[in-house]
Amino acid sequence: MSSHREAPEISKDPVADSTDAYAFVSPDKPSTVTLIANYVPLQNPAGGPNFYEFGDDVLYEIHIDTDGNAEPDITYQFRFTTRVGNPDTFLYNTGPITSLSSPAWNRKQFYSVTRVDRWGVHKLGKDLACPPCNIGPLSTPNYATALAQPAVHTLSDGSTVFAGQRAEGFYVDLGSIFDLLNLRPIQELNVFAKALGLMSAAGVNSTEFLNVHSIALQVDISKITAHKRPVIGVWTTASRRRVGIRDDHGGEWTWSGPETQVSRLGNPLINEVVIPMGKKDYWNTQHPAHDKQFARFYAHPELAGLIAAIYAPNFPNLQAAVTAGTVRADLEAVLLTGIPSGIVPGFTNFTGSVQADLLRLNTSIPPTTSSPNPLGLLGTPADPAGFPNGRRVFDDVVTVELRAIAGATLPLVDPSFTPDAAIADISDGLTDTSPGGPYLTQFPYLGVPYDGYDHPSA
Amino acid sequence: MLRGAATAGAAGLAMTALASPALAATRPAGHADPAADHEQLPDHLADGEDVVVHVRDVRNGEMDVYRGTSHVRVQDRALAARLARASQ
Repeated sequence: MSSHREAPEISKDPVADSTDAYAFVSPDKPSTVTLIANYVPLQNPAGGPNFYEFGDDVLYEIHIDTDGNAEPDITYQFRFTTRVGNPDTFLYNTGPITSLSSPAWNRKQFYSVTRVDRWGVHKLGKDLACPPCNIGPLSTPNYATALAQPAVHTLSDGSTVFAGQRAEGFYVDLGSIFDLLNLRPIQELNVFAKALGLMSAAGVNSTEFLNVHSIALQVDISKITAHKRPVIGVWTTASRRRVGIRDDHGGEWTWSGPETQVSRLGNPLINEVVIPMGKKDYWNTQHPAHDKQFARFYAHPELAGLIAAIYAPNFPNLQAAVTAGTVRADLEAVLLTGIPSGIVPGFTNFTGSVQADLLRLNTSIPPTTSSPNPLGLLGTPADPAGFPNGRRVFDDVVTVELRAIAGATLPLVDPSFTPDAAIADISDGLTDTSPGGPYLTQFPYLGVPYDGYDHPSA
Repeated sequence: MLRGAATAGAAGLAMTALASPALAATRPAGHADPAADHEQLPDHLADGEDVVVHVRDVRNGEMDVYRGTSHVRVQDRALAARLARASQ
């Protein structure tokens, strides 16, 4: 998945697992940017009685680089506190939860928001209520209007924030991709599937009817850009204290020391399929400003060779480029520096020469409000408001990245390269209609979380 | 957490107000200060907050000391040896 369970260590620590990051000019409020950081992946909506929540012991952050050095010029910090109303019941709720202050809700979570920038540390909000998880029609009636919408808060600087459960918006056929890259729609071309006689089939969305926890922030563009620099670099992190000691009676933890980064996310799928196994945990601890050390994995992605080999002989040009050791300057540009002007007519999200895995958003490009293309810049026609110009909640980043790695973007830097015709068929067979429920047209854009009663076996 | 604490020659201990990290950091390596046991701690260190010591290497006395959100690395062979003995 985009970055769910993408590295060995963080896969054992879901509350700190950064799963997706989004950054886009808000389609309904184009003077603002919406930033979303997702955590706690693959939630079965029926996962009670201890439903999902943020970690009180995790520091969640959204970072913004405004000047191209891959260092955070602005950081929004989110810290959570859980309050148990009645410790003498096993129940998450003792009756219907009809409001965020409902006494029937036994395990509430609150959070603070702090902005750190060159002018100092600014507390923007505290004791902000999260909504409960969506349990079912008896426990969480009128979820969207009575519980989720009241959990959208206005911060002291006028920004808007939400933190809580949402429907998973990222769609991917995990079952096929991690079964030897067997993309179902073209599995008759997969050398392993061909041997079994498998024929083309429709994609299956592995995240359908699953939930996730989101931190969403909507901020005026002027608050997160530098003067005459409309392109920002965004990444999210989760950090834990350096030391934790578990009490041997009661199971309580004692935490000590400074926070240390345990998870991060800029572009989707990078630690998933670009960074090799031996570097994944390390990658999660590193700051983007140090990403030059990983540049060779972008320049010579293992996945390109796998596509050429597994779908041989359908990618002869890609195979030739891999065999020749071609440096994938196209991927380095798209993923590590942004695309300089002059490469794609009328478009740039270049931040400078510092190589860093950031989600780069040119905030001067208006949102596409009529028929946005989930394939973004790789769409036909191209949609410059979509990935890799930031990332919208519905963007088909799996197809975009698979096609880019298969050579679709290589002609941008090497006009002599002809992409293989089979690139157009690369897809896991999913679209932005694959999620179980609709996206929202307004903040926080990710859909209402699926409830456990109606989705008991997701 | 405390990764490496189980390796040979290392010990991890959690104590309350073990000692001032700042004082320990300024102490010459290999010289424990017996008087420290009776030292009057300043109020900000005697506040009951946990001090966690990770002895990284008993032989050279390298230790990480954590208190609140701070972390300092100190070198004190005698103190590291005392802690290792106390862990037996």
